[in-house]
Amino acid sequence: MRVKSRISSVNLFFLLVQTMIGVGLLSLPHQTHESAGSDGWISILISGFFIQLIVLLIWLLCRNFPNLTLFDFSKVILGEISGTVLNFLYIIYLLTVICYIFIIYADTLKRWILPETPAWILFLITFVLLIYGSICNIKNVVSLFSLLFILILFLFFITFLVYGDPYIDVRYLFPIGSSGGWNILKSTSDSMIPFIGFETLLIYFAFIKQSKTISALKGVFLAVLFVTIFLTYIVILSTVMLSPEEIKITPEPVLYILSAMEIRILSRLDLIFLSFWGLIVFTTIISYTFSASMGISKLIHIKHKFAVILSGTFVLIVSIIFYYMEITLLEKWLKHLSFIFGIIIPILLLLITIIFKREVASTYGKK
Amino acid sequence: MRFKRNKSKKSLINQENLSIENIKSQLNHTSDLKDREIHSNNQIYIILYINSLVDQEKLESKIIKPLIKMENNNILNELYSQEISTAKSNEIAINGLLDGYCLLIKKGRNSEGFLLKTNASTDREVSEPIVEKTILGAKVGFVESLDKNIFLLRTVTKSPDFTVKKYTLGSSTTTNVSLIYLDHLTDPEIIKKVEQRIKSITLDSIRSAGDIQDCIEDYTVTPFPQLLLTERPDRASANLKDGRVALIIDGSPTVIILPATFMTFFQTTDDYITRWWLGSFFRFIRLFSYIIALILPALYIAFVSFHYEVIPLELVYSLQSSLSYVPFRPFIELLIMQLSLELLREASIRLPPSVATTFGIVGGLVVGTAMVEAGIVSYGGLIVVALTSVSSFVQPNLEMSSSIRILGFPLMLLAAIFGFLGIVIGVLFVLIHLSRLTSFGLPYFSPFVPLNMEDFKDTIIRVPSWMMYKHSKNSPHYKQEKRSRKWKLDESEEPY
Amino acid sequence: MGKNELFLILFILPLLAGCWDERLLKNSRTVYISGFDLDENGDYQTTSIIRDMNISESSRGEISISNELVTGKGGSIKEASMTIDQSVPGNYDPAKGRTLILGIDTAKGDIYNVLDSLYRDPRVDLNAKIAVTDDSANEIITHLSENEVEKGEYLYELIYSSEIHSEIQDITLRSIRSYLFDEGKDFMLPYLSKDEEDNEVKINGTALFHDHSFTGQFLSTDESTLLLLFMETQSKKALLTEQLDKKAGGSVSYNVKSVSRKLKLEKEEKVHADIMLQLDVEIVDYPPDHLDKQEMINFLENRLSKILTEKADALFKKLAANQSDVLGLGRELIAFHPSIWKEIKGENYYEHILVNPKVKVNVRSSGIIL
Repeated sequence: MRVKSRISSVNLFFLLVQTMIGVGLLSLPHQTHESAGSDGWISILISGFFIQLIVLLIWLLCRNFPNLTLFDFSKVILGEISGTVLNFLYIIYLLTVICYIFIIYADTLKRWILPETPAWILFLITFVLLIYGSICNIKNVVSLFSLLFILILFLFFITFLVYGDPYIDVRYLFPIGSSGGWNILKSTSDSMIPFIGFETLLIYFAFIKQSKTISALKGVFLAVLFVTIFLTYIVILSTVMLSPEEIKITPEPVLYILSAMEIRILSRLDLIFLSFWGLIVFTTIISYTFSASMGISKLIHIKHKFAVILSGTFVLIVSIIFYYMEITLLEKWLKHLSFIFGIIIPILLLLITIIFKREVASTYGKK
Repeated sequence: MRFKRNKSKKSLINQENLSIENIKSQLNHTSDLKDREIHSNNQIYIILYINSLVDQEKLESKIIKPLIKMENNNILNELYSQEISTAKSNEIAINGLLDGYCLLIKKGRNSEGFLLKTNASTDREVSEPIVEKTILGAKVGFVESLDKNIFLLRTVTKSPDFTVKKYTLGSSTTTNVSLIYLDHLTDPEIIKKVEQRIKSITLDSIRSAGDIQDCIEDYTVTPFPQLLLTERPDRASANLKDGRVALIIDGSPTVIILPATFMTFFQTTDDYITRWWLGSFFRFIRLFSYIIALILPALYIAFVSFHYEVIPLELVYSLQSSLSYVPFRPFIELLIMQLSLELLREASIRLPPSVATTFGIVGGLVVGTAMVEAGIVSYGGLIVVALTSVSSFVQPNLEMSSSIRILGFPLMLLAAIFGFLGIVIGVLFVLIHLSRLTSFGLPYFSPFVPLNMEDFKDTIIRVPSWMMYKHSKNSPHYKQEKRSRKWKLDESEEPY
Repeated sequence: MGKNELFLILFILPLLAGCWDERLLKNSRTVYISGFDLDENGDYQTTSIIRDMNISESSRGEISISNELVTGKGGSIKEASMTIDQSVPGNYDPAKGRTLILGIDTAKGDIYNVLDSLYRDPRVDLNAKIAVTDDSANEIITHLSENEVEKGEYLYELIYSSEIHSEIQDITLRSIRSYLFDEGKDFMLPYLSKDEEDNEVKINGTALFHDHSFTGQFLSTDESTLLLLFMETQSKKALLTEQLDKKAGGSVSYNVKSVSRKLKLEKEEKVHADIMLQLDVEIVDYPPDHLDKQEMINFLENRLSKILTEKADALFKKLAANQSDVLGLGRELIAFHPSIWKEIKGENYYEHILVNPKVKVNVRSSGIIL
């Protein structure tokens, strides 16, 4: 089925930025430092550039099937059965990402502000928000995201307050390239995780007005650029503020820096940052749930509303199980999964489309 | 399509020929345009007048009566009217009608008509509404009669596009309702929606504006009002000029304005009378106080019972010292205080004004301080509740300020459970909700959602009136020439 | 829309379990100063002042302040504070402590052992100031709780004003961790002592640290001001006074307006660090006056440059003797001369570095008289 709603290129920008900036933000400097040392920001820049290429490939794939989502054109490309299997896998993948976000979110909150509150309560409240936030149409999602974009700018603003700190040492960035070119390149695969979210483009491109023209791509490029710059900024900021050995023992460097900041009437800016970050994480959750529910409703032909409730319940149960069993397991999986579902499968699909000249089947053509 | 119609209208006005049909169509067949045929002396006269603008008494005794009794055909001598002029074109005739004149046309001789002064005098008994006070605005309020209200609205909104549509609602007892809009400014989509919704009302009887509001608003399960209720003709008129629609209900001094967006409730008449800096400032204050009233109690609870490390040390000590005597949790403490304040508020409405002042002092001051000294609430809690209620009184609209009360308690509860995170969750709920609300198809949280820079000109700030020249969402045809301050260029002096 | 279910959940939640993380302000016993000592057995002793403010019932609004001194012992800092918690009513809460004092024994050991438990708690005020005392921390705090009841955050203000005057390095709980984990940087902490004559706690200078522990050597406030100038981290005010000989008119006081430092690192048999420091100063006290004459200014500039260079020499010898790299030369090497760093790196890298300071003073202004 072709999707009926249309969004503009600007809307796509908001959608993508809010989906991409999310749970990885807080621990990003720690992670890049683990693998690339003080050159973490370089690897972020490189992977940002890499993502731009991937996004271009996704666009090349999607422009063959205007107004069709991945869940529809996968069947065109691969045939009915294998297409359905792929759709199913994608839904599982999207749901896994939500579980991961759920777990990291609850874990961070528990460690930083609510140590005594049982985790299942946090999961439950996130679940309620997920249900409430995702039962809507794409226009609602876009308008909410564009409203909450102000918060991302606000996060920028909060980090500016750090510059009053006298301990900023630019020397921590030097010597540039000390960890060696190979290490930096190797760490790019690690710094892909904060960028996940771009694969939702496989779905969102269907909503764009003129997906064939290059202008559709503009919003996407800008979004990836924005995210790259934002993440690079955060990494540089943390590198400059904390000494190299210190970052290694600080899982959330940004929060740690902010918790020391003090403005006249408020100390502990990390509370504010954490809360706004929470809102931004919710947008990521809503975006993923929206996509996953769309897939579910197409797969088993139920209403969007029930698909959301279904996926929400799945995520709630799975994340509670994983939380009490093994937190880090999902992260390990996700590193590979995002590589497969975000990069390899779209490229394969594109290749098949080009080689076998798959086009919109007649079943979709006339509707 | 609409512009075409407007164009054809213009050409009609320029037509020399005086025609009743033309006049009617130019006035959009507004339902208060009446005509009456009078057979007298073998002649057929047609009297055309706008019902709400003329004085019925005058019309009957001074125009119609002599006309019927008339023996010769010399109209000018027989009618008792202060002013009689001849109207030779539609344009003159329409202007006259809008000023409260009635148009007298001899049938068969369409090219000539007489305009007779029959306008109602403005000194009807109208008084300033109590709820929506202004400092500088007109001291006129709507009354209980439908015709008078249309009259009041017409006197401040002179336009041939002023259109009235009458409906009779209620199946067991009937109530007249008038739909009023400016045809050239209002989005036809909205008019269509409003008409459709009004027609579908099948209530037994209409008791007040609230009944209609319940039936036609987009969402009923929301604390946010989507219709603006006003008692001020100037406010209603300003909204008509913004491309909104007014609903007047017979027997009610409250006029419904729709569609209303979130920011509509923060605008007052005073904003447009004072200079724009001041107007913008007050608007900002109102918005700010809305947010304060909404989250301050919740913030207090979160800080005092969860994150007191956020508060500066000096404040911690002084808060702690007064809190240590209070046996309740901060949430219960504020709840007690809020509830007693609601009691005071509700009680003072029923009291005569002279007693209410004394009551305010006894209730507010004495009870407040006594509560603190008795250790039921702390100083901090008292300050927070007082600030909250003052902020909620700042709101110009009663319904909007009651949404604070509805939303405030859940927020307080969330803050009592999750602290700061609870507030954020609550605010996110409200934001999601707001971004989805619509009012007659228009996004309710405009201009924030969807972001529309043009609409910021008259929402958070109020730019000078000559700068508002582009059309906005709810009046797609509004266009104002931006030459009001062109004289500045002509007058400007060279520096050398 | 699921709204009803939602409201239901929201209203049932608090009934279910209440509020888990609630920490009521009225129940908390807020600490405003803490000190840590190490006794011979290797046990830690924590001493804290809990401050209470009471609004007396009889006369309205009158606020009285009382300090409560509490101590606890334990094998670790956390255990010590648990002992305190058991002995005080309400919740003992060290989160708001604005000043931390390290006894001399603790400071000579690995101070990170003391601080680690603080960093694990998200609620600790990371802007707390840290100081070292020449005695046990218990002594100082006992003295403070007895004598400075009404003075509020006496010690915090004391340290803060010294920072403003560039007498000590601006260090908080947060920034000290950066130094502790930085292989190429050391730091100095304010050095407190009790003045027996005045019966007051004073800042005597700054305690030099090497790696994680106190070297035992401390700098006078003048020396540490000079060191701060070399680090280019002085505050707005950096007032210095030098004794000139009688002929030149006794003494001169000047305020350093701005600093520019040129640092050159070269590897010969040792690493030579040539530091050229240019100070723009404002003369604030110089009785002989007549600073309009160029030769007078030149004379002053030369004298001051010479005196300061000598002082700096002595200062860096002191630093070298204690291997305390407060200047952060190690970090400089890591960042810009990684090849040199590779050769000398190790715990005692500072002994390979030879600092050759040079100071040049420029008189820029002299107040509103000449």
